[in-house]
Formats: sequence, C-alpha cells, structure tokens
Amino acid sequence: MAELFDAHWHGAWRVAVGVSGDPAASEDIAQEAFLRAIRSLPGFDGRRPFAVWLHRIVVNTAIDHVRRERRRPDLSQSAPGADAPGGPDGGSPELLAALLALTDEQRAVVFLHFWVGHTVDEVAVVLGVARGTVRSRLARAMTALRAHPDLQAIARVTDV
Amino acid sequence: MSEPHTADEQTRIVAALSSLHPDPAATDRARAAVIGAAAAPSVRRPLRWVRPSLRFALPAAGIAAIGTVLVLSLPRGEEDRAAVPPGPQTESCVVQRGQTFRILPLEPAVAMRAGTATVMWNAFDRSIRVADAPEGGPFASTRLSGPDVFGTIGPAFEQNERGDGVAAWVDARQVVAVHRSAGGEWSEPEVLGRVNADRGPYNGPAVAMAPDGTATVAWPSGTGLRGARRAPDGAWSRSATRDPAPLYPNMPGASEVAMATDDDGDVAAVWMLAGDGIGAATWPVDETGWTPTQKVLSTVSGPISMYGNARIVGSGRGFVLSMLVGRTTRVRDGGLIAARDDMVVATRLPAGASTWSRAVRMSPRGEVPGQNTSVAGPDGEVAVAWTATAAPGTPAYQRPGFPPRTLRVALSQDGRFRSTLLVPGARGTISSPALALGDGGQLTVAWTDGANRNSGRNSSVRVITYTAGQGWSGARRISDRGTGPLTPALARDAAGNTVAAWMRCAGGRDLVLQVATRPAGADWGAATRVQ
Repeated sequence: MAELFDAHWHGAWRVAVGVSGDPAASEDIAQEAFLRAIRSLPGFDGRRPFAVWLHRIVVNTAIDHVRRERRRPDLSQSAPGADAPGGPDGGSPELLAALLALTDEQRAVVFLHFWVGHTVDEVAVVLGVARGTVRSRLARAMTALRAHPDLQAIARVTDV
Repeated sequence: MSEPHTADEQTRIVAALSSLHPDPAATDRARAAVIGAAAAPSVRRPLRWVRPSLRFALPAAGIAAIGTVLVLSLPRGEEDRAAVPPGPQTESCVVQRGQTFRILPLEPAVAMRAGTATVMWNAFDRSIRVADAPEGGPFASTRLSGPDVFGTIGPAFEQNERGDGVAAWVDARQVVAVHRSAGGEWSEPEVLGRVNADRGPYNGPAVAMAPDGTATVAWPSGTGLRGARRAPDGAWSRSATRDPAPLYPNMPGASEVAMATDDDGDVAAVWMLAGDGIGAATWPVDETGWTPTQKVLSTVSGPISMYGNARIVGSGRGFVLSMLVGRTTRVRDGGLIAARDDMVVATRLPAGASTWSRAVRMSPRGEVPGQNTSVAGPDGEVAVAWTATAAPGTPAYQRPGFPPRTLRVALSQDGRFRSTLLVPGARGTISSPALALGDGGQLTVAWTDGANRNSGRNSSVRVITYTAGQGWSGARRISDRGTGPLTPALARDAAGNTVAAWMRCAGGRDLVLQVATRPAGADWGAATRVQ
C-alpha cells in the first residue's frame, strides 16, 4: 500500500486541484479519496487502469468538497511549493493564476489532460462525460487561455 | 480529429502547473492515514497492482537485443506489499521510506583520509555544514551555505586521496557547489544551474573528485542531465546530455543521478530517465562534455519492466553499476501486471568501453530486494548490499504481520561477483545499509535497526565487519537507542580508520548529526553530536 500511495499520490492530488481549484485543500481531498478507494477495492476489477479508477473517486470527492465549501478559490493565495518566477525551467505564475481561474469544467479537463496526462477518452471516463464534451471544454479553455500574454506570443508565431 | 492546442501551448501550460506541489507534511499525514487504513482487518481483498496508465507493447525480441523497453521505476504491488513495513518510522521526525526502490537523501556525507574524518550534512536549520576531525580530535563545524535556504537537497561530497574535495547541494532548485584543495579552505558557494521542480528530494546532485583534483558536478534538469567540471585552479565549464524524449507527455523529468570517477579520472553518471529506464553517460578526463546518453538495459533473461536505485562506483579503470530490476508477466488493457521477481543486478563498463557488459543477477530467487548501495575498495574490488524480504510463496514468508527484512552483501573477487553473504545480526525492521571496503576485502557494514517494529522510537545504528578468510565479527550497536537515527554513512581510509555518521531526531522535527569513529585496530568510540 505504501508503494501504491507513493505511485499515485501526486496524480490524485493534481486531479483534486483540477476539480476543486483549491491547492491548499487538495491534500485533504486526495487523502479522503484514497481512503474511499481502499474501502472500494473489492469493486475494482482491473479492466481499466487503476489510475483512471482512482481518479474517478478523486473527482467525486472533490465535487463533494466544493459543494460543501460553496466557494471559489482565493487566487491571491500563494500555491504551496510554488517556485520563484523566472528561470529556464520555471513556469509563469501569471499563467498559473489564469489556469486556476478557469471555470470548474474547463479547469478539470485542462488539468486532467495536460498535467495528469490522461487521454481525452480517459478524461471522459474520469469525469463521467462524453468524449465530445471533453473536447469542447478543452477548446473553450484554450480560447480563454489564449487571452493570456504567455500564450498570445505562440498564437502570433503560429499565425505567421 | 486534431488537438485543440499546440505542442508549445501544452509545454507552457505544463510548465506553469509544475510549480504546484502538495505540502510535504500533509503528504506524510495522508500516507500514514492510508497505510494505517489498509492494514486494518476490514481490508480483505488482495490489492492487485496496476501501473499508471501507459499504452505500449513490450518488444517480442529478447532483452539481449538493444531495444527500447519502456520501464517504470515504481515496481511494487500485490497484497503482501501492504504488509511490508515502510521501515523504522520516527513518530515526531522525518519519515523514512524503508522498503522502496528509492532512498530519501537524508544521509550525511563522510570521508576519511590519513586519520582525519570529514562529515558534511544538511543541518535542517536551513544550512549545509561541514566538520573535520583530525585523528582523535574534536569536530570543528563550519557553515557552508548562506541563510534563508529553503528546500535544501543534499549535500553530495567527495574527496580524493590527496584531500581535494568537492560538494554540491540544491537550494530552492538551484545547484550550488563548493570546492577546496588539500589543506585549504572551502570556496564560496557558486550556483551552477537549476533542477527540475517535479521530482522533489530525488533532484539531488552528484559529485566526483578525480585523483588530479578535477571536480565534476551533475544534476537532473528537464529530461536530461547537466554537468559542470572544474580543473584545479580553473573555472567551471558546462555540459548537458541530450536524452530521448519521454514516450508520453507530462512524464516526470530526469532524476536520481549517481556518479563516480575511476583511476584515470574519467567520470560516469547514471540517472533515472524522464519517464522510464536508467540512462548512462561518461565524461572522459580529456573531453569537454558528456558522451551520448545510453539507456542501460538489464540482460538478465525475461521481460524487464522496472529499473531503480542505480548505484555506481569506480572500479580500477572502469565502473560497476548495480541497480534493482523487476519483471512483468503480462499486459492487460494497456496496463502492466508486475510479478514478484525483483532482483539486484550488476553490470560493468571497462575502461575505454562504450557499452555495458551483461548484467549479472546477484540477489537469490525467493527474496525481494529493497534498498541497495555499493562501494569500491582501494584495490578496485566492489561490494554491493541490499535489504530483502522473503517472497510470497516461500517457506520463509510470514503472514499475517510484517515479514522481517534481512541484509545481503555481494563481494567481488578478481572483478567478478561470486556469491552473496547474509549479514548476521541484521534482521527485522532494518534499513539504510552503508558500506566501507578496505584492502583485501575487509568490509564494514552499517544499517539502521528499528527494534520496535514501525515505531522508530527504539532505533539504533549497528555495524559489523567481514574479513575474507576470517568471516564476520559480532554485530554491535554504535549509537544510542532512540527516535531515529536515520541513514548511516560510512567511510574508511587506507590505514583502516573508519568513521560513521547518521542523523538523529532530537525532539520535535529537529534532526541532528551524530558521529562515531573507529581508529585502525581499535574499537568504536562513543557517538558524539556534532553541531
């Protein structure tokens, strides 16, 4: 179980952040999801990857959390473990804020697809929606993100 | 249907998200809660291990062919692994992972030369410290790093026979290095580069000090390895490897670099490739950078899916790599079901060679290895040690409860590993083996012994010595019992003077350094705290 936790903790946490938009609360969400998964293990038949099954539980747990909290994330708070801006290997804090500010539906598909690494089909299974729904939400999320300067430059180069 | 985004957009989005990490303390609490819940009697159904989702087919050809085998570095699974204790855990201090492929880099770094012991450690008060103790004298501590150090990883430290030294660590993702000439003072810290954000404690740098005083530092960055080299009285030069891109996007970056130098001053580095396998490259003494990256494959028969814990030592005019590998048995729905046939293997890169020799299996069947470590002696012989538990289905396997760990060592003779030895007195909740090897195969072994199963509250460091032709001495405890200690390190000089150092919980979440020395021909002295 220790190795299972170590292998899937970060992925589960990322799913929780994607659905809840709240990095600070996502440790508790992911922990609760793991505990639910342990109780549900007899129901796991192995026909799909374990990560997909676990992340479905994380999504449901995160949705329960959001409904309980009934609030949007405070984007002015620093994300735990966030690095100082800049550097060749670092990302843009401004783009990160824009990602966290996406709608719940758009943020979930973006995080699950880009950050957790699920295919579109797997995202559909994890979120319990149709494949076309995932693609349309991704497209709308990219439209919203392309208003950000970090992605505007790419768009200009692509247009040329 | 085309993707609604470009590859560049994806890269920038992932880079922005990569600055987010779960809180380590919350992760520790969650881990303890999940493991505790899994151990409860209500969990009856065996847990079948399934890999994170990957889509690929293993090559039909045998592993002897140089093919691209996608491997993973987290091979554990199946129900009995839930019963394997994670190692001596400390209730109020840093949690150590006992039975995994990875060792958290908590151990101090030690060296012994002409009776003078040198210890370098992460003082966890936001400083890196070094202390020297001339023979029989007290340790004098110096602070190497500046204030406001956050997220420190390391240090790595190495010293040659002359006493030239190099050390490196990570401060808030920056790789920092210091050096000193024999008899001199440590230089001011210099920033050499940055490590990946997503691999946490496995981003630590590695160092190598050649006989002529040339220092090399390596660290994982992005999907490859970066390096810097400094000739005596020279400036740092840089080099980077060009590794194959990971098979899937968003896979973790390169990590867990280990490095060694041989008698010629050539340097070899091994590391976990981004997403899969172990990569290797050399930096020859007369070259300006790394050779092309090779993916190291085990030629032990059977489909190999998992590699981890690469350890490398310089052996004469060449190198010996030991690592853990594990098998898969079948592929189902794109996932992998791992078998319980993990093993420790060793392979050799002779001087001037460009390819690694055939890997030799060292761990016996019926045992599952965990932590491994290795050391080279002054005559080029090599010792490898690993913890192990009995494999399911064997008579020694115990259920329910926690299967005890044992400790094995393999000693080379004339360049070949001929047999393994079971370390007497090392059984139970043991972890973190450390080795020191002298001429003629005199081996010193140290480990952490957790006498109170998982509580960690009655842990200690134990040592034992093996001499070829004479056998084993009696195992003895060289530390006090208490919370911790963690991850001992060993070093000895040509005369046989030996130093052992370890971290110890001092209450709350504070870690302190303790050291014991053994003059050649004498017994171990009392452990002392070094501040």
